[in-house]
Amino acid sequence: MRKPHVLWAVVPVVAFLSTPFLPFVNGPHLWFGIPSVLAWCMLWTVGTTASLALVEHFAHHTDEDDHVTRDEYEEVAA
Amino acid sequence: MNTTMAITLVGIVTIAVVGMSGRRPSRGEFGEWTVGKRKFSTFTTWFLQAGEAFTTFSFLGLAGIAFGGGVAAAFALCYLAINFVLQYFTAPRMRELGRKGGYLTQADFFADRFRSPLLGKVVAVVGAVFLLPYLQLQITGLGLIVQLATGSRTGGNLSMVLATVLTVAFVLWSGIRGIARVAYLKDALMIVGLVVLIVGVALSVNGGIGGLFETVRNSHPNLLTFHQDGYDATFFVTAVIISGLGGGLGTMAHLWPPVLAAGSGRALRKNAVWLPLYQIALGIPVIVGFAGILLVKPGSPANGVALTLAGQTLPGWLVGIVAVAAASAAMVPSAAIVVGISSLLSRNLLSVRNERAQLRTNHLCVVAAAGLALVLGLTRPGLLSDLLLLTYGGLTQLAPAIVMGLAKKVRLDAVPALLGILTGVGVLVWLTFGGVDVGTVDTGLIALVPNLVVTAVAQLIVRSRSLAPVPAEAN
Repeated sequence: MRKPHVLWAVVPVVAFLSTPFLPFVNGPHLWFGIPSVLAWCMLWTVGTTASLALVEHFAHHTDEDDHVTRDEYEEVAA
Repeated sequence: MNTTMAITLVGIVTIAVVGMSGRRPSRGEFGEWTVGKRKFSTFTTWFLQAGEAFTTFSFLGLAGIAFGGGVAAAFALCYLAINFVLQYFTAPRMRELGRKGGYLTQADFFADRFRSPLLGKVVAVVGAVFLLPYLQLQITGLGLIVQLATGSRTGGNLSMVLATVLTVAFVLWSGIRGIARVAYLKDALMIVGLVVLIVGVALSVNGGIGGLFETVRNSHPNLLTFHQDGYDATFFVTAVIISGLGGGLGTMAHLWPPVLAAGSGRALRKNAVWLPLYQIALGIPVIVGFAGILLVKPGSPANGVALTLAGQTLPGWLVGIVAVAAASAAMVPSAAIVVGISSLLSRNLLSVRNERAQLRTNHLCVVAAAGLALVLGLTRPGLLSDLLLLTYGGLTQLAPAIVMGLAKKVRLDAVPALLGILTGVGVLVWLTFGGVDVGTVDTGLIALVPNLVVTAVAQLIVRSRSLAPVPAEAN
């Protein structure tokens, strides 16, 4: 892969899908006064913005917006 | 007429007036009505895209799932975030192809990328058929919201009629610009409505939100985990995957106009980065659903728990504001869906070529689709409910072809794409109505497997035929 920074986008997806399989999350726990599952999902919702911001930061955009978007898509599709 | 009803009706009319004010002078062209001039700013695109995420489901369904299934309701936060991860990569590409190919609908993409008007027509039919029950869901949801808020069934029905007529009016008058204008108001109302709800709940429960969850942990600990019938880990994972793919890959036709109307790919990427933060607000209806476990009579209809709770904890005028917010959460998606259905029918299925004639045909389709959904909502509310079961899973069967169509070079032919879609939808229908027990696995995800297999095998056959040497002509 020529642009490994797009892997940052995978991190929140893995975090969301692993929610039921993490004992410290999937249990009758409360974090910050709310259920741990809900808190985990809210935290990773923020994490999604952080990870996409990282992808955006490391992406090499040119003035021609559309060329950049095509490259990004093809990187993920590859 | 009580205060709540009066505020609700005034609110619905105000939403429509704001929508009407979005009209810009135009030459009566279909493209202008559907995607503006493809120059929408990041700001406008933000509200159009956010508008698709907050629907009646946010007020009714999500609190209902939390009421019955506890933390499983958090799946909505997860799949919406995954939507944006995928949209970061796909939406700018869709817009780019749309600008170059002059797309106005999702089916335009299929017809152009696979060079097959037939595939475009099939996708138009699939899209319109599966979106109609989704439209009806918004309209009946609005009626339920007003009924619960005011305690009047007649008021609920009246609101359904009024909101549908006014939504059709502002959609016909202003097109996507009207929807964008209402989307600003809707999001402001949504935030106010959700904050009012959560404050009302916090003040009503002993110990506030923290006390609420301590009580739930002591009395119903299973609701804080995925150890429940129907809402287990399998439900969560498969529902998140199928809904994440569906929204992120643009399988629903009404999600395309906001993307095609965006002024740049950069605007869409910026929104994909920041919109997940906005979805955190969906935690509020989940918390409200939990409050219902303590405050609402056991056995009450799950979908009504948020509005029932509002009626129990808030003064009438504040319930009215919550009802207007919830009504706006029905009207904006309804407007977008009606644009999605009508444009598919008039442009792709009926194939009216002249842009002005297309606009006139389209307007007739808007009235027909909204009218049908309203009449069925009032007279036979259960008729389309079975079809609704297929909406998400059925439309997700378009995902493999969309992914292939977005690539620089399309390596999938129209026939394999068509066979894959039809196989996926067919298997889904069989799984849904054939009495097949698949546990809590999402049927749409199961149907994707034969869809992919048929698509791949058919493509191999097509390719092998095209590569086969032409037999020499006998002398």
